[in-house]
Amino acid sequence: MIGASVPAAEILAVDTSKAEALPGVKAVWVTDSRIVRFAGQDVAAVAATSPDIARDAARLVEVRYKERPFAGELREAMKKDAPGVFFLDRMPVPRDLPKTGNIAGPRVNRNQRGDVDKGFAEAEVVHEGSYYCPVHTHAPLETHGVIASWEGDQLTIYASTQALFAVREGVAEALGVDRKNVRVLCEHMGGGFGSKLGPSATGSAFSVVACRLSKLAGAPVKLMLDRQQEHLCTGNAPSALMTVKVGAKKDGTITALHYKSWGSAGVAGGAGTAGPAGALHGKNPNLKIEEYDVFTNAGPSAPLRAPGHPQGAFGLESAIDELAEKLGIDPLELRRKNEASPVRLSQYDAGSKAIAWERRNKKAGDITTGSWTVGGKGLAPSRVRGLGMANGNWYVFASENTNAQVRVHRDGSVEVLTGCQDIGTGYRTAMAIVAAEELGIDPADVTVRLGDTQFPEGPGSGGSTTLNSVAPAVRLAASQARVKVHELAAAQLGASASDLDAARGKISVRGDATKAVTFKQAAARMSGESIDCLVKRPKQYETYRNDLAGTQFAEVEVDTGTGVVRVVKMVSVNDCGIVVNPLTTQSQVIGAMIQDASWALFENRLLDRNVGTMVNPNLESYKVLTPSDMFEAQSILTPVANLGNNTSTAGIGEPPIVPTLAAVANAVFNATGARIRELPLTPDRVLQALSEARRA
Amino acid sequence: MNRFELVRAASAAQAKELFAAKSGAVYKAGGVDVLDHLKEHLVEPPRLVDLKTIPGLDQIAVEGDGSLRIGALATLARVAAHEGVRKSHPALARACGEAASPQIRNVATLGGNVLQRPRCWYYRLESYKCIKKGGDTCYAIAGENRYHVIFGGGPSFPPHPSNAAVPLVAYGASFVLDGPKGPRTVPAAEFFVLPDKDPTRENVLEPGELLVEVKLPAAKGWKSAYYEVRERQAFDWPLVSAAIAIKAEGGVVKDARVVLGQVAPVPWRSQAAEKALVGKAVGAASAEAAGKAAVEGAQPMTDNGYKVDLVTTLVRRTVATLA
Repeated sequence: MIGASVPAAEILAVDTSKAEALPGVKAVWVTDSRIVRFAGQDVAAVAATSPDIARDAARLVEVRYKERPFAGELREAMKKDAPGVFFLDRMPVPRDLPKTGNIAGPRVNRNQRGDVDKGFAEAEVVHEGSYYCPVHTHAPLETHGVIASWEGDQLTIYASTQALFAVREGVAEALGVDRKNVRVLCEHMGGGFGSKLGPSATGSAFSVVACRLSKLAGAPVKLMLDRQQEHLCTGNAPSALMTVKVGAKKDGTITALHYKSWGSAGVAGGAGTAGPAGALHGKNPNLKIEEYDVFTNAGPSAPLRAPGHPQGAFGLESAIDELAEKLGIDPLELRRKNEASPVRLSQYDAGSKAIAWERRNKKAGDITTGSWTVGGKGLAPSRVRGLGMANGNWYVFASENTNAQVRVHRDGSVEVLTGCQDIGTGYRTAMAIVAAEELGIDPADVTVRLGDTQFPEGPGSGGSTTLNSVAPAVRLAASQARVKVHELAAAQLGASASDLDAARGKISVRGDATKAVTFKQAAARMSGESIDCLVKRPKQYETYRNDLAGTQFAEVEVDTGTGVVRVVKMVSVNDCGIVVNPLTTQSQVIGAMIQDASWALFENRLLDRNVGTMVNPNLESYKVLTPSDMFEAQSILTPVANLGNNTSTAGIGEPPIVPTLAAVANAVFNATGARIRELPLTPDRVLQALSEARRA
Repeated sequence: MNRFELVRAASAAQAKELFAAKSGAVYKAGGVDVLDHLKEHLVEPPRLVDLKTIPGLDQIAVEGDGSLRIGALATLARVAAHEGVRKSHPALARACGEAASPQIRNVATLGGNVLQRPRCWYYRLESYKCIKKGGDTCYAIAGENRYHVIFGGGPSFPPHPSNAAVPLVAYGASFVLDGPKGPRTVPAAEFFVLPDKDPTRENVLEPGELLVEVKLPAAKGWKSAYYEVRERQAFDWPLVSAAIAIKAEGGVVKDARVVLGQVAPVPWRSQAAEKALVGKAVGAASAEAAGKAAVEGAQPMTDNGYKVDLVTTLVRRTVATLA
């Protein structure tokens, strides 16, 4: 792929003649679009007999631009005189939203309630603050890419994707071919975090381009984006500027919250951050939320692990921490007082115990008021520690457009067939566990076949939906298979099928373990070669409960001489319903803490302010946390049954990433007395905040 | 990257011949920095002359008088782990041991570390036609300069990237070079050059010239230390580094070397900080004074003022470890 080298321009000409003349080049594609709105936007592509030749050919494609002024980062784009990214009537937002310059909004939030003016009038203490998160990119180790291959009118695509069926539908539609002729495969994927939910990526149509190139070349085409393209056109987490005003009585009772946010998803809309503000501190009667989208000449965002929520929780939960400081109330106590969720109330107990919350500095920035066994040794005599916390929220989404199939063969072997992909969460193992439990056999005896659109359709793995969409269907299909196998066993045992129990591969008469046959013996009696149970996930009791509670605690160490922050320990407490596989569940929670700590401390997509192109489109200066920066990460699960489906499951990929940014920043405040309202917490910002705190 | 031939040299003399025989040839030692340049088309040599095949250029020798001779092909990992180096020249061992990642330290050489090109993001991306690549602008001046220099900048402003060069200048090391005109020895302090005369170069190495050996004088009577501040705990370039060597008699500093890394286009010797130490007892007061003196004359850019604070802190702390 060849991406635009400038952030805003009209394409005057694309000359591919030199590329086409290069020996080994088999096909060339050029965009129809003439308007460039971000650096990295698709311009052209070439396919050749080797990656080296393709790369050489790509450099021979000549593009002439008429450059235009651009709007770079969020706060620049908000200025009155900023160049417009779109004409107002072309902004990709709902028609009825007010629009000025690059700003669209405010959007109405369904969680608004009460009267904030009245609430602030009742307040005895008010805090108002402004908070900023930069853009993060997904930065998966495996970049976006596909292999596309035609045999006649049959198209096979091997994709690095979180959503097989979205690839099939998107590519079929773009190419004008039947879905039945498109097969997409992806068993496992090397990282996506939400950026691989579409047919290609939010800022590129590379999958479709690869299919076109393959058709032209008459050969399979492998197209993997390079690291630079991965940063530019495959999505990111929007930057966000948030102002939070919160008022409370002296006893900590919150009386009003006014939350405003301006988010930039680059050339895309949908940069909202108000999820946490709408869900947390539920006892507050007066809530007003205003959200704006700001357009910039930068690559479009894509869902990134709880989209908008880490940013929103950073703004909200930093403000709550500041309110607690103003009130002179322990931030944990302040949250307890305003907590509407009985689940989170219990999580406060578990989390504060695990982090030993009583160690925190009673006076922020004064470690003599805390209880610390470390510090003051070695090179850094000014090493201080502190504790912080923050809350997060998430939802129970599920896709009804989910099918699953359980097949019991005559030899007793069992397959689960599901079109979903395993994006690294351990989905394959989880489905084996669910089916095995229902059938009364060992999970190792269940083969899960997945990652192929020829299997029953499943949802894209976004929104923490995969487990609780598919597991209920697998359980139901397994249950139907069990009934059929038990009918066979019942005939053998001279008992009624409803009187049978199944465990560890044996089917026995309830109350008489001596009357038993093995699962295999029962299956051998079937007529035909297999028992096949294909089910569509029934709508269950989704509306019963749709909120997931979470809270997080962080211990940090700050070198006040250098501004270097290290996370020492983090405790994440989460509700994800009944846990199917504790190992992989804990792994998701720990992974979320790591990724979010990396955002808190290091990650920052940086566009040159004069040129508008990214200066750190690599993994050298776009810094991701390394093993040496790792901390003790503890996950505590607080399973709550009845999450609206027959397995009581909920996804856990996203919830634990919501509170971390704020928990770390609040811990830095507790350690140093310096409040940092802009991320990441790099030495330049920490030293600046320390110097401001000293002056104050 | 463009196509090139890889030719392996069996001796320094042959390397020079192989280099001279092909216009535009480039030497390759560990290959870490050269490969980055090739991939980004910052250099497009028709030939790489591999130096790794030259026997004997990776030796580390402690001479009878306590001086060191380190072959330019010695890996950072070996220099960092070498008992003799750790004992007599600990600042060098530490600087090599803190660089990059274990994987890179196992292939990157001391010579390559000293000769690597700056990590400035504008220089490292082909799309920015910056002054270091022969263009007419240093994008950092009005652009993103949080990692750039606070001393000695202009017309370009990238910090010198070498960790190891910082203690080498502090120890008064010299570099043995071997080029078309034969061998010569250049003191480390004179080897690195500011960009004011020619922003496309960082040192006085001539075309075709090789760095073959690093000589360090005996450190008898000197105490030394090297520390750096990084954002990440590993695999990151320092924001600021400092190598400090002190010769004290009866608790009073007789001579001192204070050299700073990542703050200037060359390893930056702070004579003001040295002056603040000489004649004083090594302790908190002189450490404080040296830290303050080290930032005299600093000219921060728009986004790197924090480096001034880091220098003050790092010099103070490093001196304090020598007390």
